[in-house]
Amino acid sequence: MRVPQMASVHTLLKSLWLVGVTGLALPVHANGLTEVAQTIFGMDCAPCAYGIEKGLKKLPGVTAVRVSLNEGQAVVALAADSSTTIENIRKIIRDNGFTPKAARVKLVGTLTQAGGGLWLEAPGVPRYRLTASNGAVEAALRERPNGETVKIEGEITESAAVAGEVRVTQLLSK
Amino acid sequence: MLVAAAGIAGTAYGEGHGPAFGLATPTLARGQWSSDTAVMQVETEMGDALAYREMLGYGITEDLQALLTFPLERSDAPMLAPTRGGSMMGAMDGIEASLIWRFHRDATAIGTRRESALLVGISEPVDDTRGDLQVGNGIHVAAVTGYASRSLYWWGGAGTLHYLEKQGDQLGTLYYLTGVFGWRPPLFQHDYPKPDWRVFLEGVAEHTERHRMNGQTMPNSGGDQLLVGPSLLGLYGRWGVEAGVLWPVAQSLNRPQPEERYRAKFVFTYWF
Repeated sequence: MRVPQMASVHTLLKSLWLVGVTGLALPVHANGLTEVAQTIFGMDCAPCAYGIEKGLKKLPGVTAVRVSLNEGQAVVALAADSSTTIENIRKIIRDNGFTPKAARVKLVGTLTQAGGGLWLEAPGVPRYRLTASNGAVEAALRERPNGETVKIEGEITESAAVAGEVRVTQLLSK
Repeated sequence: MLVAAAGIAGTAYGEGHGPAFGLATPTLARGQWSSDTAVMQVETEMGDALAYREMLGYGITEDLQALLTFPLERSDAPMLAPTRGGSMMGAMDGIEASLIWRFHRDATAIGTRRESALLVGISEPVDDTRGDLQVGNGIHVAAVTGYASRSLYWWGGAGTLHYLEKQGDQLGTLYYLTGVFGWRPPLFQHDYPKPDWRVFLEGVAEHTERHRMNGQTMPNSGGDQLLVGPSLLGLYGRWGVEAGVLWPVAQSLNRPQPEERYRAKFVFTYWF
């Protein structure tokens, strides 16, 4: 009787761990975005950075903003319930007179495979089409079961909007 | 009577990364306000004058800005022919409203951009007369193009300030050229939000036509001058301070106008 009891406890603990990793630790964000490192061209002065920082902090669900003049980027952290999109962030940049370029993003969403393509879905936006930066990343993504919540890091080009394409550079969730 | 007396225009263009005296391109964000408060001293061989001016800026769009400048206080002294203390703004001792349109903008790299702008303004004199001359409204038109980066800056611009005739009197039209070269040495290349400093070498060339009184040209007015000097701009978040001085390297003023010895300026800027 002891062995089955131990097995049950082990199963229970494993289940809790899985829930914690896949569920609690990876809540699917409203727009999938958890962090955006937006490259900015043309920003050369402290008041320029101040204006962008001020604008970004006003966006809904933004929890932290860091603007770097030397790196030419704004890093924006987003809460799980944030409705802010990458286009909202880019509009702030443009309204300040500067040019948003490619953005490095971290996304949490539901991974799906359909029609040979890889997609990441989040409740608040049209799904992201995923491409892999190399074969290893693609293999890691395709190994994941359909419908699993994953966290990825990738790049969105300057021309892609919310429904755009994310070039995945790293699968962050193991 | 010497009617070369003029007020001095006030403030500088301190918006973002601007020089103190020369034309530059604007950087206000859409919906953003700014305030520049400036004091400028002009020292001549016949005494000096101190002028205080305020400039309010508003970003209608990221490429279109409205400016309103007005004198806060001014101490009169025999001055030079009409001039603009900061080329971006400020007909002498008048209230001036301007629009700046940045019609060209090309961000070529991180921290780097080329851009060009047009400036159009109208001014209303605070005093009806200057010396014995009636003072009409002024129309200011200028154009500027330049380059900004994290280490080097330059701008070149040209403008004219034309006064309308009033009861037969008319102040001489001012034509001016400005050139600015800026440098941000490695010592000052700290990242935001640390303070951001840069130095400029500025040059202003002015040609002023003779005034007219009762329809007659006044021989003791008008002339040319070229002034050169350094300025220093410090930026910290929403605050900016700037100081600069210009010395004449060439002057050809129709006598007995007093020659200018230097112009000095201090500007305090706040971005809302």
